Amino acid sequence: MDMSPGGIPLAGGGEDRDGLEMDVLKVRLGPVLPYWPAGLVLHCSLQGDVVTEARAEVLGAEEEAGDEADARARSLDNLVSVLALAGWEDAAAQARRLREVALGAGDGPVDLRGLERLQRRVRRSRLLRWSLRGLGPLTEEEVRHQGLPADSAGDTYDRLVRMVDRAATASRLGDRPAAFAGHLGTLVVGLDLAAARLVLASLDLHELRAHHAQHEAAHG
Amino acid sequence: MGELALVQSPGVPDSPVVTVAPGWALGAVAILGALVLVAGMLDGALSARSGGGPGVGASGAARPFGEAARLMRQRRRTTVQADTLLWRVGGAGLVVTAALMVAVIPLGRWTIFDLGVGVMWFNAMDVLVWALVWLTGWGANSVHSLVGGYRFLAHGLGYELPLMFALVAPAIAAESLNVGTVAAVQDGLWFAVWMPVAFLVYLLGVAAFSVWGPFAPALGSDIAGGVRAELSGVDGLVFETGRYALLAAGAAFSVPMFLGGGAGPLLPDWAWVVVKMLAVLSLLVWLRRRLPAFRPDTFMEVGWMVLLPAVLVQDLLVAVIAVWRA
Repeated sequence: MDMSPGGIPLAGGGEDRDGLEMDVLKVRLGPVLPYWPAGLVLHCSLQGDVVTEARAEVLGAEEEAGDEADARARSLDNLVSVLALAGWEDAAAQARRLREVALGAGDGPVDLRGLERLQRRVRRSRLLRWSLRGLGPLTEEEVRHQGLPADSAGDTYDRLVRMVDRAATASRLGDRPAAFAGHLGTLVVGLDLAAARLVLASLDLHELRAHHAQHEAAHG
Repeated sequence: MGELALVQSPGVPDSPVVTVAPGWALGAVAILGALVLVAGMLDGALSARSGGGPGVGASGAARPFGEAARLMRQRRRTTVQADTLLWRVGGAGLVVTAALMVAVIPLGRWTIFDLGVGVMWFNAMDVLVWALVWLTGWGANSVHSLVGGYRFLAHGLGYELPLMFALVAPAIAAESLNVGTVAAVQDGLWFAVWMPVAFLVYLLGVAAFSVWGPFAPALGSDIAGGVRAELSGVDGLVFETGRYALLAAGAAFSVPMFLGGGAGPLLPDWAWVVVKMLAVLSLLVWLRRRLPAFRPDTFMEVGWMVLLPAVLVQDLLVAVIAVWRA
């Protein structure tokens, strides 16, 4: 039997979580994908659409100091990602418009009323809450241990609500602390691809670091 | 009417509709095509108004024409070791399935195919969509389209049974599986009014087998377009047309099943059918952008714990009322 038809090796088999054998596909996600943290590469093993193994890596991690408008635009970018991944096109388009406004405003006043409208809309949607509730829960202990931003505790819905609340505040956002990428793989193992993408997007990652040591040093 | 060569359908005694000559199938397909165009233009206009997403700048309602022109000029790609036959069968099959669905839908008094078990025919066609979407995802031999195929099947497990039982309710009330009869017995009171749960579940099912709105994760942008990730050029165009055609056929079928067929004041019955079709289709198109998606891995919970019991209770109520009235 030809083991690599067309030059592509056949997928190997592996035990699925229900004990049946299923093909294992090796897939690399990133470094550039829509609605994906820039520079993150996830080397995944997929069985069907379930991630069974994942190893994270960062390409081109650098400190990028931006101004206030950049920080807000990046937050709104991440919000666009979560809403688009959740399949809510209208709300994602609304967030995208606000992002353009924020970027154009520079250090000028932000469109707070627009942001509040978006905040109300996101908080009101029951279908969205049902869809994201209980997905990718993290305890504060895990958040600390994995070098993620401190406000990542809770499930994906909690994180989304915090994200939209942050974006809608009048005060300066500032840059979020850089997150350690090394443990991101463990967060998504056992989830299907759609859920994994939602969990990663909900972390509101602005910058990624390849090494944990820096994190320890920074937080003493 | 003489030139239409009217035939009384042999299989259905006292059928309320008349079967027209087979050549009129072209007319039915033309109506389906017009509905597809209307749905595409409406969706383009709504997307442009919302001001986001891919293709910003294209002037709304003209978007389907631009998109069709772009796809027709695009070079056809293929993937390594694709299962070309099954892949093409899947992609082209959707539009054929939609045309077969339309065959049993009466336009007022006229129908192309007055089948005694028309409701089952429609149901069989929508089950065919499972195979077609899955084959499109599987045939390309690509991870992303395969994942899209899995997502569709996961949704399918959740929506298909509620959809079947939703179709059972009008059939019980009409004591017939003939679509024309179902439309005719809703004299004065539409089924949508006294079996609203079945109607809503049916509409959800239509969105689902058209991979539409909350059921679109199988075509998600997070997996590069999912099932259609590797479709290019004319193949992509035929697949998209097929989706819109399924949506239009589903909307059209709801008219005889739930909305009283051609019943209505002033206008002739065929015109009422068209008006109702357009109303249901517009509703479905409008809803696409308004709702977040049902996650494929959790939709089964909704399908079996909420929709299925709800629609079974609906069937029971309808059956009790039908017996009581008899």
